[in-house]
Amino acid sequence: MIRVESAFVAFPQGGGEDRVVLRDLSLVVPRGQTVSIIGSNGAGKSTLLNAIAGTVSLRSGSIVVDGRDCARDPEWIRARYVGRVRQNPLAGTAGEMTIVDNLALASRKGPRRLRMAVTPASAKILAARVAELGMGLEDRLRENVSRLSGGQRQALTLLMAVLSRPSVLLLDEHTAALDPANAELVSSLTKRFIAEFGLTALIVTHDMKRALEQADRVVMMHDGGIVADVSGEEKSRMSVIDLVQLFRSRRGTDYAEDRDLLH
Amino acid sequence: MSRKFIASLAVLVTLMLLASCAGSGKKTVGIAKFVAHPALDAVEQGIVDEIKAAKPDVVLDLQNSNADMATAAQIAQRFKENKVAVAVGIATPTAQALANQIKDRPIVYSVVTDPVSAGLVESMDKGGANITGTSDMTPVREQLDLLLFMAPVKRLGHLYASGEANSVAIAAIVKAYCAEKGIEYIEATVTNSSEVKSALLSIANRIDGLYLGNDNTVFSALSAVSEVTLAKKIPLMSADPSSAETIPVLAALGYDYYQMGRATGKIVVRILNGEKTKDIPAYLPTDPEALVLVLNEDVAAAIGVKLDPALIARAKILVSGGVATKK
Amino acid sequence: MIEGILVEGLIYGILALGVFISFRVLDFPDLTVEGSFPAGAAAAAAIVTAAARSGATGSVPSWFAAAAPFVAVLAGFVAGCLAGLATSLVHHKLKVPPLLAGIVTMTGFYSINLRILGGKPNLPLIKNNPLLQAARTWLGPSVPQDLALLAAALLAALLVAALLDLFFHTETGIAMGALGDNEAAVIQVGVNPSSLRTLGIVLANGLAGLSGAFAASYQGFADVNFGAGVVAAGLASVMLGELVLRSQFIGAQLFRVLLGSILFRGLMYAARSWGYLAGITPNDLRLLTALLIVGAVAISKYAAKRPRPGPGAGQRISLRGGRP
Repeated sequence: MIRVESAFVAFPQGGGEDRVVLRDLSLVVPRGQTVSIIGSNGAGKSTLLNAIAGTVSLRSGSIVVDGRDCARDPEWIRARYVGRVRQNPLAGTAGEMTIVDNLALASRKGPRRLRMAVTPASAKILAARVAELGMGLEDRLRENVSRLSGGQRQALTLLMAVLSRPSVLLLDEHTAALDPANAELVSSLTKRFIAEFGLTALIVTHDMKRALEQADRVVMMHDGGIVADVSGEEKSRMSVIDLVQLFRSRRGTDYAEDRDLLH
Repeated sequence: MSRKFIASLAVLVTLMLLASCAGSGKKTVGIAKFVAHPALDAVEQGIVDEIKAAKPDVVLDLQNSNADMATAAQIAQRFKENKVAVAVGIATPTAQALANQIKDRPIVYSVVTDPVSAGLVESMDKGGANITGTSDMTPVREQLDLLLFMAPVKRLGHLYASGEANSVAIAAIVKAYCAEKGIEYIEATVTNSSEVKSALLSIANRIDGLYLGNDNTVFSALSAVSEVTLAKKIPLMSADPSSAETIPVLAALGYDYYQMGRATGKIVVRILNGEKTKDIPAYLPTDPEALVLVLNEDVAAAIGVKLDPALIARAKILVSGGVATKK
Repeated sequence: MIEGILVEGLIYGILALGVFISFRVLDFPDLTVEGSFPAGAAAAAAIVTAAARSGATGSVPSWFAAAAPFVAVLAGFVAGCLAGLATSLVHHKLKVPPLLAGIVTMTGFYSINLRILGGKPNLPLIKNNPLLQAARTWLGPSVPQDLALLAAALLAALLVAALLDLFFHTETGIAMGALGDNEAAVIQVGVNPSSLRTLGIVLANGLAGLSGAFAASYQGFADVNFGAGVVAAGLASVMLGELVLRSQFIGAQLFRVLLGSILFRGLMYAARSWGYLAGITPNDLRLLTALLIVGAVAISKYAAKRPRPGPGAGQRISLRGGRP
């Protein structure tokens, strides 16, 4: 589970004043819950995920994941219990290496050993796992990842993120750069993996419809803080229009993303 | 930085400057050599011994630029700042560095092959405004005559560094000599000592004799040259007798560099005694006795060259069974 | 010719393997090798000379003198590793960019190498070169010396390449390959990128030092200026290899570095031997090397731009280039 308490993140800007990105933000996510995080640009959604992952550090406040205070852990230690998929399909894999090598890389987290990365036995297991994606990649194990399409790469990245059974999964608009068909595919894979491994997941998205569908809870951010938090009964009764109204009422400004209303 | 810090720094620097100005009242002679190898080391020793014998009070500042031009320039700066009474530059690059930096104090160049083309003096007959010295223009013709006397060379190889002015001058002489004698001239140039072996290998099958002038770069790699010439049975004539005592070459004919050093030292002493550099012409050893011949019987046996007994008698140093004996 | 091209190609090929690891695998442009290569040469030469001197006076047992060549080679490797460690520390702890970090180490090591050589820029091994002696005679008196030397060089170079191939198939090796490609992916699997990169830089420079130790034996001397131009030579070797052998498999990629090194020496040798027919003098060899590198980069960029199967592929054009 994730406990964020009074998190402050600010970046120095030329000219004196720091730019505050996360403002006294607190959030508790119980184990196994999936949370959609929505909000306008600049609300601090990605920064929240970066703070949990350790890419940015907190000015003040604390983050505790599964009882472990993250402040001490650099990004590469946190990665051992936090999986991530970013928006850019190229960001999560080593394009110059083969599919099976990438999978071998992700199959264990932590310090590397001088053991053979891919043995015939482990290759079989990895092939079975990648076959679950349903994209036929198990027949292309020895091809370079750079030959895959964006959708295939993102699906692979997702698989790699969950392969070593992290407890937390952070997804930052991970379908936004994909065409609708692939976006749908990756979304359903995401749902499947979360359910299969009982992951605690935070999904940042601009897609209001998906935000409601894919998660038990929707958190709305604006200007570095949380302005709305709906779950359970209340959430199941909401539609996209309701969400937009909610936003306007909480902050007095319109939700600026027209495209999300088109879904 | 706090003001206090800057102030104390200023005081410290002033003190240091004053201290260096005060000096000890003794004269200093700066002696810079280009690189440490047997010939130049011998020159340095000769200069030191001569000055110490004639003027024991003089302080000697010995420097070595390790074949690096930038270091040579820094050493020249140092001599200039320390206001040495005389600055001595051993070998062309060092002498050039000194001449570049020091215009108001006497410079003595030592064992510079061609001081005129090195831009140090206008002619060999008299010194420059603040510079004079000794030249070791190697007796190329005598050396090549000797090589031809020992073995019937029809295709002469010559190895040198294209970046050394004295080597380029010598190569021109060798080329002219070959043209005169109807011998084929095959040269290989290098820019760095690690290229020497492959440069030699690239011509080794086309030559039946090899000549080395007093090129500093090639002499750094003499071990490699020696190995290849022994393996390919190529007679090797070298212009440096001192390295020939330890590294196997068939024959070496050159100046006794220690004596050259002493001759240089004599010039330094003359200047310290008040003579002007323009009144001292460049010193060239003219006495045939100043030449040292080194012969290596082991090499001769290994490559199948029969040494003429008259030649052996002429040799000042004979290498046999790996041991060099001076006669 | 065998020695000039093949043996030199193999010995300096080990250096090129080090350059390959820094520039290609780690994507870390490392100039340290201009300091680690001569460091290895100096360390090896100093040990062999000291052992011979002590052996002659009888102050060390004869087995030590006999083991000296192996200790010397090991010392060369270690000296190179230390240089790599220095660069890595400067880069990771002081946040100095890779190029500058390499220059800093290579500059500092000039002085350190002079000290190792005992204050002289040059240490001859003519009377006492046990490794070269062994390499020329190890196959017995019936085999010509230069062939025996070739066999020894081949053995050494192929052994190094094989061990590296094995290494790059381990978990550590794969992570190192990914590091140069996508550092985020390596962080994502919980690996400290700085530690992994340090390992890579140390290994690459250790190989340069090892190559230097062999080169000192081969040349018959160690010289503080040994390092001049080795980065360019190493890069030219790597790129020539990429031109002649296309492959995505690490084993083939390692092998083609050795091939490229031999080719490079061959081209230089040809230029020396027959260049005069075209008016090229040995003075022009450095320019030739530069043109070779530029040409290889140009060709690999052209090849990368050509359309390849699979959407999204072939768009990335980087210095790394030339993989499949």
